Amino acid sequence: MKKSETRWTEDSLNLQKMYEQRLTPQRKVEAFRRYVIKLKRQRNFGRALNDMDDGQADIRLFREEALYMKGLITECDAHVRLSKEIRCLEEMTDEQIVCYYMLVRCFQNDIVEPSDVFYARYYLLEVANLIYQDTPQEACEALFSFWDAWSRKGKLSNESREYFYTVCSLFMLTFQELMPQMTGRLEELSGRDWSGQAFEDMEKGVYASAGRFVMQNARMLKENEKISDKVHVFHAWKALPHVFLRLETELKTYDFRHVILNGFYKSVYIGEYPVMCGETKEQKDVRVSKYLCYEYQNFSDYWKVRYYVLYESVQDFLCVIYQETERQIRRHMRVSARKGSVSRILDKAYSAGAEPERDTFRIKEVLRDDRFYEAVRSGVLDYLTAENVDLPKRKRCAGKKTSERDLDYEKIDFPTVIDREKLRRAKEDAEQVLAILSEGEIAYDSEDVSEKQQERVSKAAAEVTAASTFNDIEKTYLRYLRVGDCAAAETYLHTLRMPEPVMMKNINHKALEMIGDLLLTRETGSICILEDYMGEADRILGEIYRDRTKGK
Amino acid sequence: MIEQRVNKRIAKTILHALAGGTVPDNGLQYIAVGRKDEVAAIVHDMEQVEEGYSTFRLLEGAYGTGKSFMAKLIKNEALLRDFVVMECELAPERKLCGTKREGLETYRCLLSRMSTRTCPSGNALEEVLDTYFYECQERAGEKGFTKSDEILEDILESGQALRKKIEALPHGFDFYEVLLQYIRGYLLKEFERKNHALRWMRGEYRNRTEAKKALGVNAVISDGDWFSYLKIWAVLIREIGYSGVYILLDELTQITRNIVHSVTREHNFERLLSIYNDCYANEARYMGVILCGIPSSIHDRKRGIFSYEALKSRLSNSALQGDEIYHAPIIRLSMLTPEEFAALLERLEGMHALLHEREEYFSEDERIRFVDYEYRRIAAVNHLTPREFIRDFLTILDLKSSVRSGERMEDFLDSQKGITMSYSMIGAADDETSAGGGKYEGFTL
Repeated sequence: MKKSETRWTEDSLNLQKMYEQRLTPQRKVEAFRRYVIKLKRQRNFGRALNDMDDGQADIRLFREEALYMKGLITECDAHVRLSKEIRCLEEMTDEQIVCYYMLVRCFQNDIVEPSDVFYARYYLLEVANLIYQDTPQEACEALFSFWDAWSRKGKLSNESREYFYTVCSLFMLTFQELMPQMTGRLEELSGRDWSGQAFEDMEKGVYASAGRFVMQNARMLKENEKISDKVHVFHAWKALPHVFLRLETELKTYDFRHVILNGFYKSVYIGEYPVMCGETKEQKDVRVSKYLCYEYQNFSDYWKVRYYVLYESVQDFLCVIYQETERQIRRHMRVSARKGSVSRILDKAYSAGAEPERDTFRIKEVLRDDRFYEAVRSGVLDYLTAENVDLPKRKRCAGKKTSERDLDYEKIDFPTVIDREKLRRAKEDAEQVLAILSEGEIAYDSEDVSEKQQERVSKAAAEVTAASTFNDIEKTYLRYLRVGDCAAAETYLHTLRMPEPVMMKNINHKALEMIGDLLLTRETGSICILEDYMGEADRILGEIYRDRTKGK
Repeated sequence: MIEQRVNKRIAKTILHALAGGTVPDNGLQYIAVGRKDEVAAIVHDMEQVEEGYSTFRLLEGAYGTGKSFMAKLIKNEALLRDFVVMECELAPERKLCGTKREGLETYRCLLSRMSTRTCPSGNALEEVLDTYFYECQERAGEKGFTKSDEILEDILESGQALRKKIEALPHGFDFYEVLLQYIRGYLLKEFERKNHALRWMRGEYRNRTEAKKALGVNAVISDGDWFSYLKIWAVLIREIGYSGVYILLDELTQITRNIVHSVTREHNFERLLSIYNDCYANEARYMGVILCGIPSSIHDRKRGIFSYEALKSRLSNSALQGDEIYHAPIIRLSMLTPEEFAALLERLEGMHALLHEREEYFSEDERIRFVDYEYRRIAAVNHLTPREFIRDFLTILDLKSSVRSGERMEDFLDSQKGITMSYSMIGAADDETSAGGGKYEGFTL
């Protein structure tokens, strides 16, 4: 290696000189990296670059960079994969740059492998920027031939398709003279309406275009849903023409064509992609057809595709139609219902559009009309019949649906009359329950039971007579409590070495037999006689005195 | 007649509680209407438990069907039959098992709310144990032993059978060791030792180190084995002289629908399954388990007990069973019928009359009229529960016994917000009274 090749001088930063020098590819890459950094520093007035600056690509820089690299002839042994979509060379490593320029030769010959998807996307961007072609016409041809070659290789992802369509849109806006032929070819490729022709068809009442049209442009639908592979979404869009037809015939009071034609717009951001837009800045509006135009937004650096918006909120109306159609399709496809869509749309309708109140009123009016739901339902059925769609079979249901009513609330049957016989039986049953519970008897039929019952009754009777008489110890303790001398009662028990709970249990046990209730209770830590049974206690204590006098 | 049997104080307690919309603590048998089959089944269970078996029942009922009433009725009946009852309402912090010792919390709650016939309000643990040891002490005294050591020796000797029974169960050795500590503390008046033992038995020691330090036992009751200790308790309590143990767990929904994490829920179901298996395999002798829950806590397909296949297959009633509920693990409580409501009103009126020393307030027709009125109120179909029903009637009884003694039922009902009652039900019930006309359909405002 010569010494002059590695010398870092001011001249070496001159792009032309660098190009003229015959450097090895690796050294050219290195030199170019330095050149890029220098330019960026100049642009930032010498300030250090931060992450955000690195992420933003300058279009001029991109072009010069790409044009320079165009002349490189590189050799690379290993294929280096790109793991993400890139927007400029600076986002690639040196190895990836070398690999890319090795692949470019293949791309130019329309040879593309599925593993090169991100390189291929970047190549599309370069072609759109006239890096490898001298005229827009050649670039256009190159774009489509490359896309055809790529499509032939295998099934492309939806993201790649959308990317290609976006690049084409931006290319058309840059070179508007190519717009007619490009829209035609894109319509053939994608089946979408690129020229606004569908609007005109709609105006003439050709409703078959409506579904296609709505599918492209409904704002409320999220991008990922629009390109969703979900069956119910696919069928919902396809069913829309039939639904519109039904709505037109069955609800003549509402002009659905007006709704469909005037309810949409969509935006295409170009900030993300470095394309040549400098030339079009002067021309702010690009009219494609009677109904379609693009508008450049200086303030935010993006293009807005406009489909003649008259009342913005009218599109909410179409969203309601779509949601209802999707609901019906979901029902047929056995997909769980969507939640709260219509109410959300209505809420949104208040804050959007020129005359929100009027439009919201119209939506609500339609929603109140049963014919609306009937028309959507019929439209969906028309679609399913016409297209002969295979519907999933209904799953077997094991039992009765429990979700229909709340199990936790019993519904009372409204009685017509009270049956005297039933009333009599209810009273008898209550008496029997009382008998069972009070006596400990059981009323179920078994021969052994009668013996058991007799045994129990006799045992209980014996227990009552034996246990219901208070002994002297208990009566003495009770007397202490009766006069309110808890301390003396405790001392008395202490002398007997008897725990308090034991005494309490004994007295209460006997009281239950005598008076049917507890006599002693524990309040604030100490035992006392229940207020209601003071008289009973007196009676028991009265017996004490009688007993004592008798004894004496 | 009921008024001849019911105690005035109990009647007062019942009416006071019902007027406040709560279930009274005692005397429930006097107002138990329309629950003959259920009561018979439960009483049958109690007999089984007394004989040494174990039972497991689920009380299922919608809101307002009287689950709490039934649970209290069972408790009272069990106490009357000399069972020891342990009750607990499951809650977010009290489940069958959990990561934050929720199972142990349930055990603690059960022990702290242990009740007996003579101590129905809970905290009966000490009473149960002390009574037993006092009796043992008395027996030793009769044999002539006076010193504490001698008494202890005698108790240990006479309690060999109990020891064997307890030690045969899982964790029995540790439990018996703690029980001995309690006896020593009781006899030697070492209250600290007694309290340590009581703390251990209540599951209040958090780790083994503490337990070892206090009692010399290298084990504590934990979240995973608390039910094994309940089985020991059942045997011990039976040996002490009670009929057995009844465990009442309310608010089943806390371990079913209210647990969001499926893993935690399944752990609880597994524990429930092991309880069920223990009960039906008779490994939990002298024990009856009753759980109360709303239907969704059982039948909910995602979170109910029936979402756990092993429990579903065990608890599902036989298709051939029909209305027979003696052997069904699930007892379904249905709302009282109008006739049962009418019978209940008669009972309540009887109690009220007894309390206020009156003869009679209303005739049967008038009570039926009241039932009719309640059923025909706006939104009664969805909102009528025995609570509102009884409260309205007691209000009328109070008015009748005090300031509006001369008025009839119709006067009371007519004055209720201007709603004129319907006579259609009464008319159909008694054709003679309706012959004179005056039939109204619905109501007028």
